[in-house]
Amino acid sequence: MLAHLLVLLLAVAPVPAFNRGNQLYASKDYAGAAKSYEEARACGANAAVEYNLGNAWFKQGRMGRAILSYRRARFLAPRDADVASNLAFARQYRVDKLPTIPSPLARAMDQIFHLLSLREAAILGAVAGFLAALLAAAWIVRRWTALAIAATVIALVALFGFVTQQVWNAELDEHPAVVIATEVNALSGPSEDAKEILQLHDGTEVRIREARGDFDLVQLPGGTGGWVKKSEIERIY
Amino acid sequence: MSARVCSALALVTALVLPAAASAAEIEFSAVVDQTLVGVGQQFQLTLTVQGEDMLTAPQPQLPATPDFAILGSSSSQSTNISIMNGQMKRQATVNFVYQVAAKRVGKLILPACKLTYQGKDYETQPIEITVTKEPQGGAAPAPSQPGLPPDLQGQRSQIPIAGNLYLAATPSRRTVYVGEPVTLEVSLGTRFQLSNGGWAELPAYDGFWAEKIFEADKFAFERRTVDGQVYAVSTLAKVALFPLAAGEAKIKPMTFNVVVEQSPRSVFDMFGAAQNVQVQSKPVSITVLALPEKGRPREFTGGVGQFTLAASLDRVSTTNGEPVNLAVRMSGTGNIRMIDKPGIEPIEGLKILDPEVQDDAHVTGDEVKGTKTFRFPIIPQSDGKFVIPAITVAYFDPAAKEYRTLHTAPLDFSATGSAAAAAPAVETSGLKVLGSDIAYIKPDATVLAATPMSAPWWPGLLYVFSLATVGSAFAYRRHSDRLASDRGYARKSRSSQLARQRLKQARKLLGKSDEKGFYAALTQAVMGYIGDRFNIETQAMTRDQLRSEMDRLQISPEAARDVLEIVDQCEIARFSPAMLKDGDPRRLFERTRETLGRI
Repeated sequence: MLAHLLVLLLAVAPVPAFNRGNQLYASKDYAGAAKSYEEARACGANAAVEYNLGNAWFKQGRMGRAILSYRRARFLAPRDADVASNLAFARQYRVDKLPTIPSPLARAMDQIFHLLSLREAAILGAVAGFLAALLAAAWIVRRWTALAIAATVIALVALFGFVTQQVWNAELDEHPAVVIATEVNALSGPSEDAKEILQLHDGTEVRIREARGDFDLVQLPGGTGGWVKKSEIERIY
Repeated sequence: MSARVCSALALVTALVLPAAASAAEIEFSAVVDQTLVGVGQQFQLTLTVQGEDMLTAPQPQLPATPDFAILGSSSSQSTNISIMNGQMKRQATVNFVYQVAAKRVGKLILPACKLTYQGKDYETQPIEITVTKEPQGGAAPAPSQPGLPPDLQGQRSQIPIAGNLYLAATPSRRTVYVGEPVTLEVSLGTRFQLSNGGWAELPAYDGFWAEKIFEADKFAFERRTVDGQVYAVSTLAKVALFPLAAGEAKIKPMTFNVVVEQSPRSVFDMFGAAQNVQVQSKPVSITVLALPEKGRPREFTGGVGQFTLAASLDRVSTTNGEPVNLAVRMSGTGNIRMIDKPGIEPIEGLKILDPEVQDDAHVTGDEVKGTKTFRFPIIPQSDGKFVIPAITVAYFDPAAKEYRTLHTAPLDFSATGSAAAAAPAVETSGLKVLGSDIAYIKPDATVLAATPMSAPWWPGLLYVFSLATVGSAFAYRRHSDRLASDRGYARKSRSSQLARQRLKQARKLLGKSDEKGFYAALTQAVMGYIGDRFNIETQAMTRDQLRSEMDRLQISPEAARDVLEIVDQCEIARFSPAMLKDGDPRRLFERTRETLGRI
C-alpha cells in the first residue's frame, strides 16, 4: 500500500515544474522553460519531459543538448513520431555533417528494432518466451499440431522482443554521447598539451571508448576520434 | 790506336765517374705567384727542384695545411746539358706546380715543404700569404691545362684586366617600392677575344623575388662605347627583381669565368695561350621604400602594380550539399605571385573553406604579367537563395603612388536538398509549404510517471523457467513413452507401489487374524516385488529357482538370504504350522518390508 502511495507521489511530483515549463515555453522564455523541465526531470525519467526539454534547448540554438534530450526521449518512447521528427530536424542543424546515409535495408532494420523500448522488449521477450515454452511442453506431451503452431508463432514474437532488447543493449554498450560545447578540439592524448587532431562541434554524436582522468576518448562513426574533456561532452544514458 | 781508345775511355770515365762520385746536391725552393689573395681564390705554388745529374725525380712532401686547400697539381721537367771546362754538366729542373686556395681570412703561413733525396733532407722556406675577404683583382690562373706544353704552365698572364674586361649589373631603377620590380641587366664587356665563358656561381638575389626575363646561352656581342672606349658587349641575363622588404637591398657581386684568347707572341708559340679569367661585378644597392601606411585600405592584399579583379561561380544551383566554387581572379602587371588571398566576410548559412591558389605569371617584354586565381569551395549548410556580396581587393599602384580598390559584382546561387531528411516536400495536394519547424511541446500533464531507464530483473528468471518447463516436458514424455514400450521399465516403475499395496493387504489380513492369508500375501509381496523389479516371472518359481535367479541378478547375498528365509518361514507357516518356531508375524512383516527396501 505504502509502495503504491509512494509511486503515485513520485508520479505527481514533477507535474508542477513541467506545466510551468510549458507556460514559459509558450511565452518564448526558452531558457526558463529549460530550467523548469530540468527540475521536472530530476524527479525521474519521463519521455514527455525529455521531449519538451529538447525543444527548449533547440529553440536556444543548443543543438547538442537538444539532441541529447531527444535521444533520451526516444529511448523511453521509441514510437513517438514527434520525437523522431524533432531529432532528425536537430541533426540537420548541427555543424558537422557526418555521412549518415545507410543502406535502405539498414534503415528498415533500424526502424523495426526500435519499435519497442528496452523495457517493453525485455518484458515481451520473457513473457512470450515463457508462454511459448508452456505450449511447447504441452505439445511434447500431447502431440497436437495446433499446439506446435501456436508455440512457434509465440516463440517468434519472443525472439523479436529478445533481439530488440539486444539492439538496445548494444547501443548502451557503445556509451553514446553528444558534444555540448560549441567547438571542441579533440587531442591526440589525455592531456592539455597534446596535439589537436580533430575539430568537433555542438551536436555531434560520438561514442566513448575510454576514460582517463578528466578526458574521454571519443570516436566518430568513420573511426576517427580523439581525447576531449569530460565537460565538453555528455553521455546519453 | 790504343792511345785513342785510352783517351776515349778516359773521357767516358771522366763523364761517368764524376756523376757517380759527386755528392749530388740539389736546390729546393718554393715560390707563389701571389702573396695577397682573397679567401677561396686560387693561387699557384711552384716547388722547384734543381740538381745535377738527378737520376730520379724526387717527390716533395707537402706539409699538412689546414688553412689551405690543394686543388690541383702538375709537374714538368726540363734538362739542361752544358759542357763547361771539358766537363759535361747535366742540370735537371723539375717544377711541381700546385693550385692552392686559402680557407680563411688573415695572415697565413704556407709551411715549409720537405724533400728527401739520396738520404738528405731539404726544406723550403715558409711563405707568408695575406688573405683578405674580397678576392684580389687580376687574373687567377686556371687549373692545369692539358693541351699546353708543360713549359708554359705556371706562366703568369700578362693580360691587363682592368679597363679591358668588365661585368656589369645594371638596374633599371635605384629606388622602388616594396613589390615593385627592378629590371636588372647583367652584361659582359670585353676588348679581348673570348672563346668561352660560364658563371662561376649562379647569381642569387637575396631579399628579392626573381623572375627570369632572359638568360643567354651563348655570347652575342655588340659594339658599344662605354666611358669613351669601344667594347664588345654581350647581355648575359635579364631578371625582374621584386624586393620583399623595405630598406636597403643589396645585389651581391656576381662572378663570371671567361677564357681569353691571347694572340701568339712568338714564332715558337704554335697555340695562342688561352687564359682563364674571372670577372666580377660591383655590388648594386637598391633603396626599397615601404608602402605608405596612410590611406592603406583594409582589403590590401600585397599587390603592387596595375591589376583588374573578377569573380565567378562555377554553378548557380546545387543540391544535396554539393560545394560551389567561387573563383576570384586578379590579373595585371606586377608582383602577381606575391598577392595574398582576398578576405571574404562570413555568410550565414554558408561554410567558406580556404581557397586553392593558382598563379600563372609570364614575362612579356620586360614586364611580368599574369593572373592569380583563388578558388574558394563553398558548402551550403541549409537550403535557400544565397548572395555572395561584392568582394573588395586593394592594391598599390607605384606609378600613381596611391592605393586603388577593386570590387566584383555580387553573385547569387541557390541551394536545395542540403537538409535532406527534413526537407519539406511539396504536398501532392498542391499545398504550399512555407517553412519547417520542430513539432510543438507536449501538453500539460496531470501525472508524469517516472519510466525506469533499465530493463526489469525478472525476465531473466522467466527465461530460466521456460527452459525448465520444456526440459521437464521432455523428461515426462520420455518416461511415458518408455512406459508404453518397455514392459520391464513399466514393471520396475510400478514395483514399489505394488509391493506397498501387497504389504498393506497382508497387514489387513493379519489384522483380521487370517494367518494363512497373511503369510500367502507376504509371500506374494516378496515374489511379486522381485518379479516386477527385475522383470521375471516368479509366479510358479521353486525355491531353488528363486535362489539361482537372485544369484544371476546379482542381488546381494545377505538380501538374497533374507528373502529366502522369509519365503521359507511363510511356507512353513502356511503348510506346516506345527513346525513353526518363534512365529511372530509382525516381526516377519517388518523384516520383509525392510528387506524389500534393500533390493
